[in-house]
Amino acid sequence: MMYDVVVIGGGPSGMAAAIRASEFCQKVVLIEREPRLGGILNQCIHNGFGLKIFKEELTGVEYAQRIESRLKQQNIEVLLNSYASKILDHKVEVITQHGIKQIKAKTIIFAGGCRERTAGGISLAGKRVAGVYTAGLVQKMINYYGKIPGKKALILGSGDIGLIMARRLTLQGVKVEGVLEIQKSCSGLRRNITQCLDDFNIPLLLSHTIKRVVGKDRIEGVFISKVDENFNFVGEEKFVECDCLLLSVGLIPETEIFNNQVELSSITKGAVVNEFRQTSIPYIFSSGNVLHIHDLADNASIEGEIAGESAAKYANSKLPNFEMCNIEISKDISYCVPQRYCVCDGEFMLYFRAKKRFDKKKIVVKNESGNVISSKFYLAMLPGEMQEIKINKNNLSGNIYLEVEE
Amino acid sequence: MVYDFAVFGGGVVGCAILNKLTRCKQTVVLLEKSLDVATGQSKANSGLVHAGFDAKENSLKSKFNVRGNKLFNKLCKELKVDLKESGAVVVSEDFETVKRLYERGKYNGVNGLKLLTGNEIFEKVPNLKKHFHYALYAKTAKLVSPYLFTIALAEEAVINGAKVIFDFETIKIEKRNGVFYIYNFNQIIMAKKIINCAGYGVNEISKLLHVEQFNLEFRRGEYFVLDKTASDFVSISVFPTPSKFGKGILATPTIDGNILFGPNNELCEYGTQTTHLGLNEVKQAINKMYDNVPWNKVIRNYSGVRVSCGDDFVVKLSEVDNDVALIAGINSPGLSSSPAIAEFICQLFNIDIEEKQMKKREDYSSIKKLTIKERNKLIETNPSFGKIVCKCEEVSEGEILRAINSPLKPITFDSIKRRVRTGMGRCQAGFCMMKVVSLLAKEQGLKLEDIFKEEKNSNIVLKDFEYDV
Repeated sequence: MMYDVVVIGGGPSGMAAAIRASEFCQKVVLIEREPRLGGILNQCIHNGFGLKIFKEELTGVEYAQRIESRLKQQNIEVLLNSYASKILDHKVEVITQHGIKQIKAKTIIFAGGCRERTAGGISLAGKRVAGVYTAGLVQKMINYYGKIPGKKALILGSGDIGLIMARRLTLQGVKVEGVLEIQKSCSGLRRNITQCLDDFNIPLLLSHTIKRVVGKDRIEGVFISKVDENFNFVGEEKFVECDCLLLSVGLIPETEIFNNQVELSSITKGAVVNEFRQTSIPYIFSSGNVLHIHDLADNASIEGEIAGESAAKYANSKLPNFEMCNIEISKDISYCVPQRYCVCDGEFMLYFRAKKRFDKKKIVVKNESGNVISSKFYLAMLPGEMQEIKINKNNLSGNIYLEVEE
Repeated sequence: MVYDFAVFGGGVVGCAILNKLTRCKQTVVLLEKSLDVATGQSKANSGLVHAGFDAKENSLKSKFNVRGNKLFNKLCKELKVDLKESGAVVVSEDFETVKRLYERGKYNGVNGLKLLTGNEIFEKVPNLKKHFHYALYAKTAKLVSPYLFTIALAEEAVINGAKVIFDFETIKIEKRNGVFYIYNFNQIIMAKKIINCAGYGVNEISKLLHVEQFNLEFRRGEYFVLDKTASDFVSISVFPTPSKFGKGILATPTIDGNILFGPNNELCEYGTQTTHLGLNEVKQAINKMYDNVPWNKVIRNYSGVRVSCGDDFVVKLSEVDNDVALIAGINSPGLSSSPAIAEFICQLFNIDIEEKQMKKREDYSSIKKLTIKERNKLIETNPSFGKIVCKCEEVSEGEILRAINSPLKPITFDSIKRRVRTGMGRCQAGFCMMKVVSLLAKEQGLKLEDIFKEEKNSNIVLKDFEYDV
């Protein structure tokens, strides 16, 4: 049997993709490796989800349940406990408790999410002892398994999960000594700094990092140091006693299943896509954190809907091979998604992140002749927060250019 | 019962001896203070079976390495441990150095040596910088998982009657009427002969035995591990020219498809921490030798501590007590030499080397090696083989359960990691750690907080606070 759309990954993006796809075609299957849908949302018991899509504040678990109940109303086959191990030519290899199968697909949407950067990934020096974990793993430990990683914690990296875990640990009775950030500014959302650190008097040490981890069997402490702009250690090192260390030092799209067949961006580490979230292999689409790291689950879902609709149209032969042009960025922008657009009438939302903080600045999009085709004023733009700007494509062709207006 | 032999230390040498003595119909007990075998130097090295051209002529190192290399092929087949003869090169800017190594290798009895120049080198090592004009190629260098090899040696011994006791901290040894009484806090083991190969703890055991102690020197070697997606960086083990401090900082594939960079060589107090200085030294050495180094694929760093006792190995009977064999200073090429050291121990004790028919161990490592048809058959009989727990290494629940119930009854997270590779991948157990901990707890009837990472008291999680109601 040939499916119209095979969606890999049952998190906020994959579920939304499957729902949207099923509105346009008959045979949609969703592959999820866990025993339940929702992905990482299942360990997010804090609120702040759904403001964009449901116009109310939900916990991650509630958000997942809302989307799942929508999904159940659609004609979508769901494969749980099923691990998509390979993408082959119009086929997905899936390992299940009923055997290893190959599922035939007209189109594939890969929404497999991301992983956390690890101690090894940042070449953290010292002992490799128990008690050093990524923030997401600790979130699972506490919220899912009801255990704590230690009683005195330090957090390295001010990513959103780190900030949320600073609050979560505190609420669980764990003393949080502080959050260290190697950069000069916090990399998490402003609302998380206020709600997770300030409200609990947890210190945030900017331009600080860990020199080495100390301990025999479990972690007993770390030596920390201030760093200069080039992240070289400066000043005296200081010992901080702790029995657990959480790392919130970045998320990395898990694109290994593409096996280098799909063109990847060296910045986002996800696939290079056009506004339909179509990759360099036209029948493969991608959305969610595997495409680029979102700071809101809502945005991952919205992106899933785009991918779902586009993939369904492609399966129905209603998405032609358009001419494609590049969306280029100035040095002030770290990346944008999509990186390309199709020359055809319509409009799309361009997502991007600023490289550093900008206050009261205008973002402009120019066409090849230097004329402004879209612009938007921002009171403040932080690197940790994703921005969006609408692009009207009617009569547009040629490469376009995104920049912060001087 | 009184064992024929008690072996102190469950490193690769101890386990090779345990295995060999068991094969030679001796009753043997291995006493290990950690909770698994291969928790010291044997888990933190380059995973190479060296060819043997590097060791000094007529040294124990050269003799054991060359002999050990030959024994590895048959042994790994019997133990069902993967071994890959992928070869090695030593690259150099001058001809004299490689020529000298070539001559030494010939003298040591190494087969398959060849001098390479120019393009021949770059065909084998495409990312090597172009100023290395000369190389010595050694066909017989092999890749092996040092911990799986050690585990397999111990397992085969155990299913053929040997005994391995973990968490055994020796506090006293007495000899009465030709029998050693070995005490820990709650039991006494009796044995007629003793082999002390306790690695960095060799002197502690020697002290209890009232026999010779050694001047030990510790040298730390730090490594980077790269993700499997970087596996095409080198397909052969590449060494710089050796110095008096060892074989130098190498780039090598591993049997599991990762890449290793390291080790440096730094005199230290015993301790397995990595350091900024050491890691940077490795980084600079690699950058000096190669182009296109995929540093963004680093997933882990580690260090191993080599224990040295002069320039050569010490493998001998004690001069104080002929019933005690002493093994010390087994640094590189220790892994490569281990089967030959075991053979030599048999000779020292005049043991008949005729081997008994051994029951074969079961290979419970990756089912990825099987065809899809074979895997499906396995899944049909036991669906847990179709339930992927560790996605980076594609390890199923069935494989983890098999490992937990394997002959040495591993109980720690790291012992499962070494057996089936859960947590060895790019997410470093971020996704699967708690699932593996849960399986370990469930199978043993323990709570999650009772599971250790590696050593005792290395609890992975703690019990939540108990609040007053």
